[in-house]
Amino acid sequence: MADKLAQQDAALDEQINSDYKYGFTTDIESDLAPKGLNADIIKYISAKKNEPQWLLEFRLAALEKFESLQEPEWAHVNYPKIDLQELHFYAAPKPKKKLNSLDEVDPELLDTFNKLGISLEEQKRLSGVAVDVVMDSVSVATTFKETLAEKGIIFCSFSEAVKNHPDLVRKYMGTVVPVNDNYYATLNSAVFTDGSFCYIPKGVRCPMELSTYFRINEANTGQFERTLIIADEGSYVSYLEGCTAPMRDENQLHAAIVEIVAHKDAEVKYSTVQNWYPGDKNGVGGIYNFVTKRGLCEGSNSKISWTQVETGSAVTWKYPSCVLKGDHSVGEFYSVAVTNNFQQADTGTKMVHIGKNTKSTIISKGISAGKSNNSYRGLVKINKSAHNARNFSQCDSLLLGDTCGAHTFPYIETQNKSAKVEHEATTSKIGEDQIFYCNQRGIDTEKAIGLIVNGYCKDVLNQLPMEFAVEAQKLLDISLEGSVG
Amino acid sequence: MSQTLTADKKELFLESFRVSEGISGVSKAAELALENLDFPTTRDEYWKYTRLTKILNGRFSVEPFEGSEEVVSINERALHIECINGYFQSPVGEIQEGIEITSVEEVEEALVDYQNEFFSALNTAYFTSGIKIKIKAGVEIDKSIQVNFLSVNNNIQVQPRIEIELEPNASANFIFNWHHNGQEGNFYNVVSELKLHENAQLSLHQLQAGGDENFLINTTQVNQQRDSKFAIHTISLEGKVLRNNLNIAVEGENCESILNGVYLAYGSQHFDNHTYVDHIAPNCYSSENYKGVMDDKSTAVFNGKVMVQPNAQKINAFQSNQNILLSDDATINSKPELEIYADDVQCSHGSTTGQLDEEAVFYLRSRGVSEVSAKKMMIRAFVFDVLEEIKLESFKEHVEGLVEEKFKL
Repeated sequence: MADKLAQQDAALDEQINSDYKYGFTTDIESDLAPKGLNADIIKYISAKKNEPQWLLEFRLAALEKFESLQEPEWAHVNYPKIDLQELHFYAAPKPKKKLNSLDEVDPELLDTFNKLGISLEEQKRLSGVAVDVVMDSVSVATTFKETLAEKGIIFCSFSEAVKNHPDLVRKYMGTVVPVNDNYYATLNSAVFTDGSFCYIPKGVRCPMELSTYFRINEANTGQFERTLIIADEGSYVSYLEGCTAPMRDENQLHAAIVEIVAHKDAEVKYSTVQNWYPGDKNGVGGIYNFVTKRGLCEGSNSKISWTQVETGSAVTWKYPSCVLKGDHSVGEFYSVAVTNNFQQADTGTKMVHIGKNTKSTIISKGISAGKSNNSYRGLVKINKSAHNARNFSQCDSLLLGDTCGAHTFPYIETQNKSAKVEHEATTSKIGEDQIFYCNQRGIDTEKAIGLIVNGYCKDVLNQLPMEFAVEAQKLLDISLEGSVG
Repeated sequence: MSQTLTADKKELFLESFRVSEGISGVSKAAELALENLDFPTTRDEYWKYTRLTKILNGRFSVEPFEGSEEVVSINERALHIECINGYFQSPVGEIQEGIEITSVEEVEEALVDYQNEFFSALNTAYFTSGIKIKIKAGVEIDKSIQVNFLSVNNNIQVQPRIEIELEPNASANFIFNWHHNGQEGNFYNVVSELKLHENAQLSLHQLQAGGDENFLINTTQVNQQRDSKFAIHTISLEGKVLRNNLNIAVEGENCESILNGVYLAYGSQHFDNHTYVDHIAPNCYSSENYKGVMDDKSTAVFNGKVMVQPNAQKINAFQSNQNILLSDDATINSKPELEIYADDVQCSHGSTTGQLDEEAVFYLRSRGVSEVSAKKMMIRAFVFDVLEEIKLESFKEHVEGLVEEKFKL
C-alpha cells in the first residue's frame, strides 16, 4: 500500500516538474519512447519514422560506436554531467497549446520581442499564438516554395528527404562528419530525429536566403537535429539557422550535426544566430549546446563561410569547421560570442588545408561579462600537400567586469614551407576614455557599452544578411543588459 | 590494451632508475607520485606533439664521475661549474664573496610540480646529484656563473638538480651550457629551481648543444617575488628530442619577466618549448618572444601560455612566436594560449609561420650576394631581435657565430 502511494507520489512529482519546467504546457505525452538509450530504442525511433533498412543500420552502427566512447573533458567548461539513460530519445511532435492572443504570452518575452523590433505577426508565430491562414509569413513561405521548386532546389525536412531523395541522402550523409567523429556526433548519428536537407543543383544561384524559419513543417525541431546541405557545381546558397528571438525549449541537451558539401565553384554561406535559454541570473538551468558543424570544400574554387552570433545557451561547445580539400578553395569563419552571468562558451573553428592555394580567414570576437567564461579554441592545420596555403586569424576578447574570464587556445600546425599563417589575439577591456567620451556627449554608460561592443563586432556583423544583422545588433545590447555595474 | 602496454613499459623504464638504498622526504613523496603517474604520451594535452617512445624504450644506466673535462668556455672570466654524467664537480675559478655553493644531498622543498609531472617527479626522486647556489642579499655578481652539462659515457641517465636562490637586492648572470663531446643515447632530465626574492635580478642564458643523439628534458621553475626581474634566453641547437618546460610563477607585484628563445632545427631534430607564465600578483609585465627556423625533416613545437589570475589587475603580457620553414618536410606546431580572469589587463599574442621571402633573396642576389649568403643573412636578421635582447655580450657573440653556422643551405 505504502509502496503504491510512494509510486504515485513519484509519478505525480515527475508530472508536475515536467509540465512546469519552462512554462510551456504540453499535452500529455502519449507518444513517448521509454527512457534510456539502447538498440531497441533506436529500432523504435526508426520504425516510428518508417525509415529504410540502411538508415537503421547506420544508426545501429553509430550506437555501437557510441557505447565505446567517453564524454570528452578537454573543453574549458564545467557542468553537471547528463545521464543519457534518463532521457527520452523520441517524442512525437508535441502540439503546443495554442494561445488566443498575445495577452496570454509571458510579458518578459514580449518585451524582448519589442526590443528586437520583431513585427506583431511574427511575435504571434514565435510565441505560439494561433495565426490566421492568410498571415504574411505563411503566404510568403508558400511563394518561396514554388520559386525554389522551379529552380530545382530541394529544401525539405530530413525525414522527407530520406523518403523522397534517398540516393542523395545516402551518398552524402556521414561523409563530412563521420559516424565516429566525436562523442556527441556519434550520439546524434544514432538518435537524430529530424532536421533539414538542402540540395542546390548545378549552376543554380539560390534566389533567396534559405531559412529554417520559413519551413512551416518544422515547428519543433527537437534536440538531435541533423542538417545536410549540398551545393552542386557552380551553385550558391545562403542559409540561415536560428533566429534572434529567444528560444525556449524543454530539452536541456542539444547535440546537432550540420554537414555541408560544396562542389567545384560552389559557395555556401551559413549564418547562425543562437539564442537558446542561457539559464537564469544565478546560473540555474539553461541549455547545453554541443554541436558539430563541418563543411567540406570538395571541389576546386569552392567556398564555405560560417558566420555565427552566439548569445544563448548555458554551455556552448561548438566548432564550425572547413575542410579545404579542393584546390583554391576558401574557408571563412566569423564569430561573435557573448557570455553573461554564468554562461560558458568554448567555441572556435578548424581550418584544415589540404588543397593547393587554399585560403582561410578567422575572425573571432568574444565578449565576456558577469561571471561567465568565454574561450576561443581553434585549429589551423596546413597539410604537406597544401602549397601556398594562406591563413589569417584574429581573435579578440573583451572583458566587461572583473569576475569573468576570456581565454584563447589556438592550435597552429604547419607542414608546408610555402604556407603563410598568421595568428593574433588580444584581450582587454573597454577603455575608460571611450566611455567618458560617450558620457560627455550625453550617452549613458550602458548605451555607450552597447555602441562600443557593436563597433567591436562590426567585422562579423557585416557578414550577416541585412535584416539578420540589424536584429543581431539589438540582440547584443539585450544580452549585455545589466552587465554594467 | 595500449595503455597496459605503456604501463608495463613504464615499469621496465623505471627499473634502471630505482636506486638500491632507501630514499626519504620529498624524494620519497616523488617516488610515490611516480607510481601513480602515467608515462606521458601524445594523448596527453601537455605532450600532444612530442613523442617520447624512444625515451620510454631506452635503458639508461647511472655512471658516477669525478674529475674534469675540456669544455669550451663561453665567458673566460666566468666561474665554471662542471656537471659530468649528472655529477657536479667542484667549481673552477675564484668564488666571489657573496656566493654560497653547497651540494644538495636531500631535497628539502620542491618548487616543481612533481605530483603531476612525470619527469619532475623522476628527477625529484632519483636525481644524480644536486647543487645549491645562493647569492647573498645585496650582492651583485659581476662575473657570470657558467654551468656546463656534459657526459663521457653512452646510454646513461643524467639527472642533475640545481637550486638557485637570489636573496633580496642580489643580482647575477647564469649560463647553462649543454656541451657535446661525442657520447650518444644519453637521457638528460634536468630540473632547475630559481627563487628570486624582493628586487633580485637574474638572467639565465641557456645554450643547448648537447649532441644530436641525446635526449633532453629541461624543466625550469621560477618563483618571483616583489620588484624582481627575470630574463631567460634559450638557444636550442642540438638534440634528438629536446623539451624545455619553463614555468614562471609571478607571486609579487611589480615584477618583470622576459622570455626569449631561438630554436634552429635540421635533420630529424625535435625541439619543443613549453612556457607558462602565471600572473598571480597585479602590476606586472611579461614579454615573450620565440623564433624558430626548421629545415629538413625537423619538427618544432611552441606552446606558450599566459595565465592572469583573478585580481591580478594591470597586467601587461605579450607573447610572440614566429617561424620559418625551409623545407616541405619540416613541421611547426604553434599554440600560444591566453587564460585571463581579470579585466584591467593588456594581453596579446601573435604567431606567424612562413618561408624566407623570395623577393628579398632575389634583391640580395641582384646585388651580387650568393644565394647561400643571402639566406644566411636573412636567417640572421630573422633572429636578430631575439639575440639583441641578450645583455651578456660574450654569450651573444658566441651564439651569433653558432647561428650563422647552423644551416648548410
